[in-house]
Amino acid sequence: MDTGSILFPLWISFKLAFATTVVLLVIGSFLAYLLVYRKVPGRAMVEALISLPIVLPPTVLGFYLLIAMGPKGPLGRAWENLFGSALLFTFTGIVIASIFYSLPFAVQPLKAAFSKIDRKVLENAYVLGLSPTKAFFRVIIPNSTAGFAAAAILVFLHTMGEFGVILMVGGSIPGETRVASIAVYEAVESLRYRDAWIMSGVLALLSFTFLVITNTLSRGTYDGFNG
Amino acid sequence: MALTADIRKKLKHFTLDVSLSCKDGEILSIVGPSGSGKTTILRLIAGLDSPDEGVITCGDRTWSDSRRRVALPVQKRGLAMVFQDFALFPHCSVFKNVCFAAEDKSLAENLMKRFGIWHLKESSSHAISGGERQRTAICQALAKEPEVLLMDEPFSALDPLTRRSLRIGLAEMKRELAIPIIHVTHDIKEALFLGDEIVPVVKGRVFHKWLLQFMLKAQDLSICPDRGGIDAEGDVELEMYDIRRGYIR
Repeated sequence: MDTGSILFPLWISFKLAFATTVVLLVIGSFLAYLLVYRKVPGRAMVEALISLPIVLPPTVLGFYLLIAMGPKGPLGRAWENLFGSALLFTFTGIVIASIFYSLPFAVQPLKAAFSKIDRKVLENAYVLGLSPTKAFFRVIIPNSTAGFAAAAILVFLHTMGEFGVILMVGGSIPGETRVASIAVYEAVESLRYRDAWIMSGVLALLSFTFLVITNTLSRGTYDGFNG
Repeated sequence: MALTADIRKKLKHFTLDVSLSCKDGEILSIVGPSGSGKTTILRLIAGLDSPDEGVITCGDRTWSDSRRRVALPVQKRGLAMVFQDFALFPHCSVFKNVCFAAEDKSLAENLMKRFGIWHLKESSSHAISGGERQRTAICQALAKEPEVLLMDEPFSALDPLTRRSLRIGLAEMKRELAIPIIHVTHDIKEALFLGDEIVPVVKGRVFHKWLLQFMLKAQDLSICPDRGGIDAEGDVELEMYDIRRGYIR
């Protein structure tokens, strides 16, 4: 058994999931804030766009991202102009693809958590002298902790299990873009069932544990203003 | 210093058109039935909603002027507001709630002692009674040391005894605070007890003081006909629409 062929993909999956979660908590909370508290022109369109990755086949999203992040695509060109390197088939490339792919899993729970906050409480914060930014950090975030936890767990798990989008945008470069789900597929293809068992077991156990935590959080904890 | 407001705003069923003024150390009680625009007046003064036209000034500062397109953000108006449903911060303890906008923590402590909630300082704000939450909300507003205090039906959710003690506490504090206090209620007796000036509002319009005499008379006649006046201990509330139908028409 080659330990590296098991540990590296798991490590890359973990790194990818962690980076995506951190970035999406920031982007997701910003988008959720806009959608809940601000007038957004074309709100229905924006919300549909954010939720699109849930219903779109991963290969379709992967195809669009492949074109956009390619050397002739807007994202790929902009990246190359800024940093002088290609975006496709790199770790950064799969992080960006994951951000698009997991966006709804961050925005939806945060939107739900923000919506639960009583408007009067926010208005009281404004009356007491807080700017919207300060109110976000001093009132909205502390009252949306369960929403943030749910978003983080969902994004993390969703990214850990990504396959189609990563394969399209990142390929399967060992040590760079070969994530655990792709490594399992390749292990099965090459009849290395033992490797497949171990990696699948780790992924399944991790997902199960995190889902138990999510369910516990959503059932028994104090979330926002609903006690 | 005085707070003056001369504002208009088109609402769903009527146009709000009010003009009022409140001086330092005075309580101006806006009294009227539900849906008469009382809370909207407070929200417009606070800057939580914008008037369609009109001017709001506080001392020499203009808070809002539709012609000059001035609209000072709510954060910069230096006021505090006691909301009808408390609007406390549920993630904060009672003490942290009171200190939320307080620069002087000892003032917050003194206020809590004065209002009898110091023993609850570590309690969660959603684990205390309605009267305690209301006291917390009043302390929170006062701890900010505001230039103007707005109170939206502050005692409506309380039992008669708690209501009475808080009314007395506020009436006593009014002199010390020496700021304009605008108080909204649908309870004419509360307005009579607290208000230095009473502004009856019906369907978004201010009626003159003679209306109040009609209202009081109407209460004697139609609500408690066996009593020679308003019973100071009782809790009779006024249905202004009924009175308007019966006496003003």
